[in-house]
Amino acid sequence: MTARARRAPMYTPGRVFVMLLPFLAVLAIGFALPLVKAVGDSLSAGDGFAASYSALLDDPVFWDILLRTIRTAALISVICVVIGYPTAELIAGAPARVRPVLLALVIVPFWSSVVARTYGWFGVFVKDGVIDSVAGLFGGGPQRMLYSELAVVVGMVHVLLPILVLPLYAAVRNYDERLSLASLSLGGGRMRTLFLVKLPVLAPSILAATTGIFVIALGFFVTPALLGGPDSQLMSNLVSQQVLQRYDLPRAQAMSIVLLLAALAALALSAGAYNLLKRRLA
Amino acid sequence: MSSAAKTERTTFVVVGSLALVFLLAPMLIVVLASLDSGQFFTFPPTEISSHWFSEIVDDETWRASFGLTLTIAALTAVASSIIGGLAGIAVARVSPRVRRLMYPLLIAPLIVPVIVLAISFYTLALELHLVGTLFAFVMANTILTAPLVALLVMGTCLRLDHRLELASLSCGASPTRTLIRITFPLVGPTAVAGGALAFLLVLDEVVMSLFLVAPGKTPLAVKLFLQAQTGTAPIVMAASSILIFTSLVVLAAVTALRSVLARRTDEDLAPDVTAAV
Repeated sequence: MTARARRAPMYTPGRVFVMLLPFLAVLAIGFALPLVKAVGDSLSAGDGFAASYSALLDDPVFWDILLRTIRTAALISVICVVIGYPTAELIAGAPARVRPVLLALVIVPFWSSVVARTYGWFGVFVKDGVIDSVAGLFGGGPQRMLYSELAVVVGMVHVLLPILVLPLYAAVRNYDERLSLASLSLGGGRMRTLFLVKLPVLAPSILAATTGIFVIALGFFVTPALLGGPDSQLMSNLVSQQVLQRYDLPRAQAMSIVLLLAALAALALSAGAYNLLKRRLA
Repeated sequence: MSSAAKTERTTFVVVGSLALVFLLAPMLIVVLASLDSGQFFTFPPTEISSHWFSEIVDDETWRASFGLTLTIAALTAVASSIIGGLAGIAVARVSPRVRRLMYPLLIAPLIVPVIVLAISFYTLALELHLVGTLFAFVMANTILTAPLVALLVMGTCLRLDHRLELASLSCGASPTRTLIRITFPLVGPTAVAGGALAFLLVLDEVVMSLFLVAPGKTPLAVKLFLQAQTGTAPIVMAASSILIFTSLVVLAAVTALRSVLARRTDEDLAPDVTAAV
């Protein structure tokens, strides 16, 4: 069927535009206008063009936190893939009666409050919390794990894991198992079949899902604010600090624009890699 | 099954099961710990009591936060299902080439880090003296939820049999009538499900709203976040439990809607919660 035949002639450009209008209005007022204003404000603030940016680039603390944010986001993406892919396989390979239950175990946390879930980890890591109780059973003392980078990483993996598992599950379900069977019958071992046949076929989906995690992690705010100490704050926390504690709006704007550029760069890189992978498979 | 195949499957099952336990554990801990009546975090709870829940219900400021959040969530849910629904239909009904051009526009607010949106929106709201207003809260949330509804509705609409619309037109119904009598009822359940999910997202939204708060105008999630930042507080556990249960109820409702629709109509048209990712 051709693309043209797939729609009724009632969708004239005019009618489509009218239907899009409310969305475009919200997008303009709530997204485009504020963003343009933020870029403009941050460029014109202070003495001379882009003064708040050059001040930012001279600040070692800013670089420190930017690099930490990128490093943490990368680490979390890797952990999520290593845990998330087997989880997707477990669900996809489960009997049809069990599958909805396992899926629900991923979907319910996904749609539950991030603050509530993060606060659960607070209860795990806090002094005399779950970990200390367990350590106590084995004669260990308090572990002092709250307000550390480890707590932040665990909390963020918890929030982001479902976002990776759900699309990976869909990809595993769509995978044509006959490809693996062909490889096995030609004498490829189980490991070689997994790593040289199945994973390369799934690679574009894995890449897309992981990029999503990475970009969300770059802008993460709630979890590091609640579970992290002064040494484990990420870019978003620094930005909000400029607004809520130092009342330095241009600086906050400049920081957030740098963060936006980092996210866009990651997306562009990933899109390039995605196209390469797709072309190789075609 | 060969032993190598068994090893592979065992690895998936072991790692996957641990991951599922990992996903559920903190939620169980929150719910159980909120049942303890003590001043400090106690797990497992030493006694079962609803002490901290009645504390929330009795507290004027928590009640106000709940009320404000429910108002914002309801308005956002309605706004984003209408705005996102219309946009979703429109984008599904243009040629694939035009759709490829519109798609980035549709998802733009979802790929920009939320803090960037929050700071930008706050700057504008400050200038226009909108900080603390209901309009600002609803607008800030609709930015994040309308694209989601649009994506869901677009998905449903693309799977829709276009001949239903053609049949209506050829029987003499006007385009507007066709839209209202044929298209809207077909995508309506997806838009409603999208609205319900938007409702859930608003309950939890911290970053956009954090900068928009004014005295007496603090949404629940922000209040929860600010309290949690000061350290351990059983009342935060209780409020968190309430949020987790609310999510469960809304998700159950969406799932029930889906299974009812799946029985009544074509399976493919039932809104899919997992598709919202």
